[in-house]
Amino acid sequence: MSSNKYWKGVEELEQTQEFVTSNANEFSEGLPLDKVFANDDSTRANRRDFLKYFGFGLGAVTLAACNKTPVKKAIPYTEKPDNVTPGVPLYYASSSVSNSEGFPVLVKVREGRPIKFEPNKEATYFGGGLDGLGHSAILSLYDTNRLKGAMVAGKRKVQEWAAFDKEVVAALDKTAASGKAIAVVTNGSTSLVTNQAIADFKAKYSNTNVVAYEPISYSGIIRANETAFGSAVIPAYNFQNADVIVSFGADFLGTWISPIKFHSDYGKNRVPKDGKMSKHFQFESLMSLTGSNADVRVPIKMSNVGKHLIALYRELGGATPQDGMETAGNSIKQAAEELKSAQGRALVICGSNDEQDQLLVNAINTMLGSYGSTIDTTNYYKGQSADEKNFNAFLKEAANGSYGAVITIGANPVYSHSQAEAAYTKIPVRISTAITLDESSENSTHIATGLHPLESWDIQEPYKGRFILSQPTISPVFDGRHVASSLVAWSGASVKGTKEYSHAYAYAKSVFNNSIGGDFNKAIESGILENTSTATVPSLNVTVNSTIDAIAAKKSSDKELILYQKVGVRDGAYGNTPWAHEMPDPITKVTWDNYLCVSMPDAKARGWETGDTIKVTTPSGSMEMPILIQPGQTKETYGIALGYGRVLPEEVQNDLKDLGHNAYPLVDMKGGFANYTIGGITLEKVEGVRTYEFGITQTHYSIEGRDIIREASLEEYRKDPKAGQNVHKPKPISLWEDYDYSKGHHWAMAIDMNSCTGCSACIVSCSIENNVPIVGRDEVRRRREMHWLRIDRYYSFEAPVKKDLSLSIVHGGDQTVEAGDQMTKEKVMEAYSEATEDQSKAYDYYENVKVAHQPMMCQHCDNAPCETVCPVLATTHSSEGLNQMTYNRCIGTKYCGNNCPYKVRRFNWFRYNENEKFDYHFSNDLGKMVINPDVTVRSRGVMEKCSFCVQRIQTAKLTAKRDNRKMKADEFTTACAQTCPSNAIVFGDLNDANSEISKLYKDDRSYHVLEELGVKPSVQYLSKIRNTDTKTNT
Amino acid sequence: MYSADIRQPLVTGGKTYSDVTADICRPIENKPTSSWWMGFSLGVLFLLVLVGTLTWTVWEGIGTWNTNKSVMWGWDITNFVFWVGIGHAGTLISAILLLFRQKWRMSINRSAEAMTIFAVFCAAIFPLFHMGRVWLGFWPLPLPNAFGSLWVNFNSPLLWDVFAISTYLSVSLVFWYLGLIPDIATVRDRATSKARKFWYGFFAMGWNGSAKSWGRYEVVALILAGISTPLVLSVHTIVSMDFATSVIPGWHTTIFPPYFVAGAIFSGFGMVLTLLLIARHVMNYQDYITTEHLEAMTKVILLTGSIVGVAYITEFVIAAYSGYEYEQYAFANRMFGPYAWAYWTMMFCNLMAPQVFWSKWARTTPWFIFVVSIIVNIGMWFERFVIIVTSLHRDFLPSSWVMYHATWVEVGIFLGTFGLFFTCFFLFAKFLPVINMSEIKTIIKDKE
Amino acid sequence: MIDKSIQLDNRKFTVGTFDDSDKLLHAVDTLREKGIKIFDCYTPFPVHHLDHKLGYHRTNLTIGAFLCGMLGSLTGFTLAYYMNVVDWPMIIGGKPQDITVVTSFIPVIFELTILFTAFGMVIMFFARTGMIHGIKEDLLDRRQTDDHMLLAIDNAEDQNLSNSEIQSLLQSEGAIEVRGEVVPFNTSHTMEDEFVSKEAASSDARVDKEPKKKVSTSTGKKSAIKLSESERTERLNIIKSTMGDAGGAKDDLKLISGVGPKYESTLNEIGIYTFDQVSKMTPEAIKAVEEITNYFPGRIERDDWISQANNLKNK
Repeated sequence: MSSNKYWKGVEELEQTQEFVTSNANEFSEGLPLDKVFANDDSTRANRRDFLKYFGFGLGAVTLAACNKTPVKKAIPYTEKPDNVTPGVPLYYASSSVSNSEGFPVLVKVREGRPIKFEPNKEATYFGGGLDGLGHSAILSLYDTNRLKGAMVAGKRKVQEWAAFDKEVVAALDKTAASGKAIAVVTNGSTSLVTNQAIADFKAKYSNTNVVAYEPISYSGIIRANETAFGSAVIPAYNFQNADVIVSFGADFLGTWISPIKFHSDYGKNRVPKDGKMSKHFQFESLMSLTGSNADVRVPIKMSNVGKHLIALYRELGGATPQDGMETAGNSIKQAAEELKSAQGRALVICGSNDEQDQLLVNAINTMLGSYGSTIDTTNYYKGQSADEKNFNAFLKEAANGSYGAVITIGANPVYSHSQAEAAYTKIPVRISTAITLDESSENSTHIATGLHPLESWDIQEPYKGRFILSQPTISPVFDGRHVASSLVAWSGASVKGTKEYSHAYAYAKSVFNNSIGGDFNKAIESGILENTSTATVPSLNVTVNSTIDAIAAKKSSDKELILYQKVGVRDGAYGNTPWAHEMPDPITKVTWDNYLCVSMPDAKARGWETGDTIKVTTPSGSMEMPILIQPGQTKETYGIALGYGRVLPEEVQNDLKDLGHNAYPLVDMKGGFANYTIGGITLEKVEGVRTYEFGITQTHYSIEGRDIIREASLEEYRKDPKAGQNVHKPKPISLWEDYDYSKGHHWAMAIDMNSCTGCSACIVSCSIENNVPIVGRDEVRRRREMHWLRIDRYYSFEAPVKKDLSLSIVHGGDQTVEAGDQMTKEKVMEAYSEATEDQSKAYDYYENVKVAHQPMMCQHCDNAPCETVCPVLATTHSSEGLNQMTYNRCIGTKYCGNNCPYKVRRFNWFRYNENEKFDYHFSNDLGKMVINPDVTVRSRGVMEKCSFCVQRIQTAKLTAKRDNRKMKADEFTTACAQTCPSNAIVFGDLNDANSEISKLYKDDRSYHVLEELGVKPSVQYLSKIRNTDTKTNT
Repeated sequence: MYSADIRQPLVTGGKTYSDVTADICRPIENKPTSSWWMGFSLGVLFLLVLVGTLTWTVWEGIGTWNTNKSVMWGWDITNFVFWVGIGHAGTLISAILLLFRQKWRMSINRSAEAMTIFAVFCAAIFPLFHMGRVWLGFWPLPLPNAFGSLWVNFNSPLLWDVFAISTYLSVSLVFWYLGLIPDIATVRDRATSKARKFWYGFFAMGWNGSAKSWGRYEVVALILAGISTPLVLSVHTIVSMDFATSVIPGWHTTIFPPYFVAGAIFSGFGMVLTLLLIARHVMNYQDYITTEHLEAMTKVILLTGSIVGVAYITEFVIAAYSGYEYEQYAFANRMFGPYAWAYWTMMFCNLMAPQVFWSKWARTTPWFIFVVSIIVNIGMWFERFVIIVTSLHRDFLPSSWVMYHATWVEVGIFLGTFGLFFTCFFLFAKFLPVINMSEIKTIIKDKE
Repeated sequence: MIDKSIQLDNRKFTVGTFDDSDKLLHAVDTLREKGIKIFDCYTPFPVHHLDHKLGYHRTNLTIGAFLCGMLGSLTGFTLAYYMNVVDWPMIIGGKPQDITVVTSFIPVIFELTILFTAFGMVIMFFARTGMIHGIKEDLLDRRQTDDHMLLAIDNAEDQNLSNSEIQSLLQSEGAIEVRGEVVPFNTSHTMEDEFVSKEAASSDARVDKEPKKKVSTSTGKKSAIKLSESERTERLNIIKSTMGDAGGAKDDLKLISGVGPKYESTLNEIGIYTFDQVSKMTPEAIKAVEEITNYFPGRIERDDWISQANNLKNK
């Protein structure tokens, strides 16, 4: 190595002083530590510093931990759209889709967001009501699982429609070329637009086979009508014309065909006017909503329906080779007499899906002259018209691979049909137009994401000659496309909309002009259109002898399983709307679940308790599920609700997984039709499974003989309109004279328990109107459902024979129960069962049950116990008689809730919005669009309750004020009253002489619940009148 | 002063004045014993449980409890009434017994008052944290509002509670502190360390026992006693009004005020006994807390226990006779409903158990008294549980009938309050004379 | 801390110490018969009838208490009435919104009455007795809160008997100890009780009649534990050099707050007699004094003896 030395500069050479020093610490000045430590109090200083930094750090962390305040932005309209005024709702006539059945509604739109369905009162034929499912359908618009646009499965990402159409068309052409058939599977929709589009599509792909599929089949009726009258239709039933209704297992108020319409028609004759009301016989196995409203409810086995029909036919004077089966207590005979007396105003219906049974029903109705009055085959019902025969045929062929492509529109067979999945996988090209991922669309090769009904133009024809027109009330939330446009596009035509109008609009309009004609805009405005033809009476062109023989030949099974629908979610097509799930079943009051209904005698006999897990084995498969003991159910019949056990894809965000079990695979197809009554079953208890806890909102079913529901028989009512009322009416005295509500308004409500069927539509309507949170099964288990309005359901049991009971003194001591008495006390019933000699029959009387429904919401007592006890005056009384809740003053002592005799106050135990533990629509941005801006979303820890829809009261008052007029009587009403299909709830101003409410308050039937407490409720109930001559509660 | 010789002396062992001072100051001046440490750390442990469960409650919401749409008050208010009840013996002993010149009170009133105060602390936790929005807990105070008029509701029993409990707490504190001053002075004058001198000197407020001060002092004590007596009675009366003024069958009863007060004294004495028996054992105060004292207290227990028992029966008879079906059912349901076990536990603990004190042996056997005092405490807790829960879970409309079972959070909070209570009590026993020296000195000479 | 005597500032007392309340009472009687003005008695516990015998009239605190109570009720009513009737009337469960709702106010009125009475009276009591947090107490015997009952006579008072006669009278009344020139002191700051109480604590049960003797023994004990002889002389030199000699003069050092009779003698031992000397103290001198007398370190600065001394000597 060289020893040469190089200088970096002359300073280095000369080694000047500055250089040496600077060189020594060339790279660093070094830390002035010595200085620091030289300072004698340096240590203390350091400790201080430490504390300072520590303190600062602590503070900083604390600050960082605080939630950042939400960013609130208000963007004004730079250019205000016509007739959109912030804060003022707009109403559009459109249609809701409840259970794939078009239904006329008004859509309430706030600032461009549809937030609520309200019944279209002009659509009188449809009853001007709405059911729970119909209401909750609006949430499917804001469903986070909605598909974002056209996508090709495999790589499920949104595509350009043009590109997508190319792919689809290519696929379809290939199929066509291969000579294989194309199937279009619809949900039997009555949409003219879609059907026209399908026709267009067929025009290009001639080898197309259109198959209608409905999860629930009414083919029995259709076929029977075909055989009987040569027209394969479901007739229109007009219950308003029926004075006597005899139903064999048809739950026409809950789930049968078109319950909303039936409700309002039925309701018209249920309120006793000048001593007359319709009489309703219900022969059924399971306890259905309809059965709970029947005057005479007779427990039968569904497998015997045919034989009972024969008996009825015979009693009515029909010539029969066989004599059928009479029920205990000769109810058939009784029914027959009633029917005969009501010739021409009678109606017999049957829930069986067996053509034979329905044929006999048709014969009976013909004898009774029902056709033309209570049954209308001319302007028949067009929905639910699918016949599983065709669909099964399609599945068979598909399984053989004779189909090259399938387009599924609105139907979800993979979920509800046991063979569908296998068949579908055999079809190479599977196109779906679903708007959310479901069992069928999940594995489809192409998804032509459709539009939500609220985003699309449509014309439906649920009844022949009765049209419902829907208009979009919001521009598509995602990049979907109207089904019609898709089909048209694939059939080659262009679907480019103009600047003003989308293609769908133009197409719908053209369909309208071609098939109906007239003023499209007017039709759209009113939302309904009628050009019906006068009903003709069809002539029965068969004799029923062979049928009767066939029926009689059937041997009834000892145990039978009945697959039924629950009022809440019906066939399960809309299974992902939490409202429908949280709505308690009108009968069992169970939420979020299905279960195996077991009759009390059976359960006792086999030592089963509610919540035990039972294995049901049927010819077509077996399943294990928890049981629920159901009073009123026929011995040896068991029931499972369809529409549960949806296998929603993983993407599903909200807590709607594992809801019950899917019972569709148990449907028995062997007879060539979907048979929902399955014989030859065995049941056994699955041991070692811990008792299942249902989310159930009412656990005590008896009324304990309390004067809460007052009822009387029609006989008694005729004699004395005050029948059933408390004999010695309490006269509550007050220490001081009460506040004078006679000035201004005095809001009040009246509820007619005769027309109230307990359908629970009001509950959902109320929840939506008032932003009532969904709490989920677990919280309901803890008895914390938030519903402001609930419907109490009470059973009373008829004692078959006289018995002397010995009870402990605290339970009223020894007493005698006469035969026919209604037992309502838990302890009395226990004693009665124990006193029965033959323990195997000890619980049989549980079959004969009377049911009463009582809507219960805040009674707005003038002397409200809740108000007195609130330490901070968070709940006070308004001068208009409203018991009002001041949320932001409430500190949550819950004292008011305890002190409420009606237990209608609800507490926010958690924060139910923006909380991942309650992952429903309140917790995601899309779902929140449905929130009603007029109602506060309650925070955690405050009490809430029914407000008599105070926001509506205010709106109405303001409108009147703006128009500078006095408020008209009944110019508005609450959400519950508005939606009630049978108009059981009436709301109004007592101080207004010509309001309906002030008339009802004078009614002899009216009374207050718990009036003896002297709390002076503002809600009045009208006592229940049953069209029977039997004794009532004792 | 006249003294009857048949009576046992109240302080045994022939103590002189300075013996008294020395004995009672010993725990303060010496290092704490191991048993003290054990008890104290146990207390702190449970105190932590309290902190934990309360934090969780506030963080998540009261939903972490199992109260529901019908039973909106559960363990929380049960515990509240339980603790308030316990908080009654102290002031009662010092006040009423002072008025009645019951000298046996002197060796127990100090600790009884301390117990009162700590019990009220524990009680106060529940009404506060059972609120949905505890951070607004100050709203029931009559404070002006920034946005104009917005006041509290003077019709609400809860508001009465706010006034009653706070008054009771502060007056008890004053009463207690007043009684402590002369003793603190004593400790001050014996103090060895600067800190002690300073702190005891600070709180002694310069007391030097001059006859003038004593004169005034006794008058003040007497008047305080005089007003504390109605106060004690009023507090539980008002607490009982939380229920009595409501409409719920089983709550809506005019018998509640006297019945609650008796119950409160009952439970209070139960707790006093429990504590004294422990203290007596741990600190060797046998000479000051003699069986004479125990016997006197057991007699009170026997009396109040029987009063409570009579109340139970009266309540039931009235309900049965009222012909008011809801009331009748409420009581039938207590006896034979789903919560019957709670009812009969209550009946056994509060009505049957104390009757053993008719026997002299039972009244004078410490370990036995201890057992019974525990039973009494349990019984009184169940009394409140029965009243609150069984009335709510089945009231007017059968549709809303529910069952209620506490969650671990609720249980944790309850146990936690015992932690708080005993932590305070052990600290008290370490730093303050647990027996009122100046009063004891007046009676070591005479019998009663 | 407030530094203010309750009542005894700068007085001298003749004190008879009793160990039995009955004797005390008797003594009070005899003295008063003889027309001797008794300043006050100090007892560790309330001796009944003592105040009567001393001729104190019953305190009128009760009237004050009554007034406070009235005020309380008034407050309660006004509060409720103003809030629920005047300022913020609401329809509450159909209850009236006028005066008739007063029934609901009763509990609150009652509670406030009690509250005001209790606090009002206790505050008045403290005020009357001149008690307040942090005040320094005046003691004539550090065991007057333990087991000694004192009968104090103000020497300033002119009595119709001579001091010695009174003393002997007390003796004859069974006083276990009679002291002539007792000056009030407070335990919190003086040296002597430092040791006394140490011992008192160390031997609890001991009852001793002669605090004085005990003290002296204790001081002896003290020097034994303390510095070695050489160190001692060294410090003494410092003190002498800085503070000079008293020159036979002697001030009552007890007037310096923080100096009790015992500590005075201790100071005298090391040749400090006058305020003048004290005023001359330098830091090292102070240090020396503290070490040599085993006084609380830093206390002398804190109580600022120097300026105290200056004031005193300029009196």
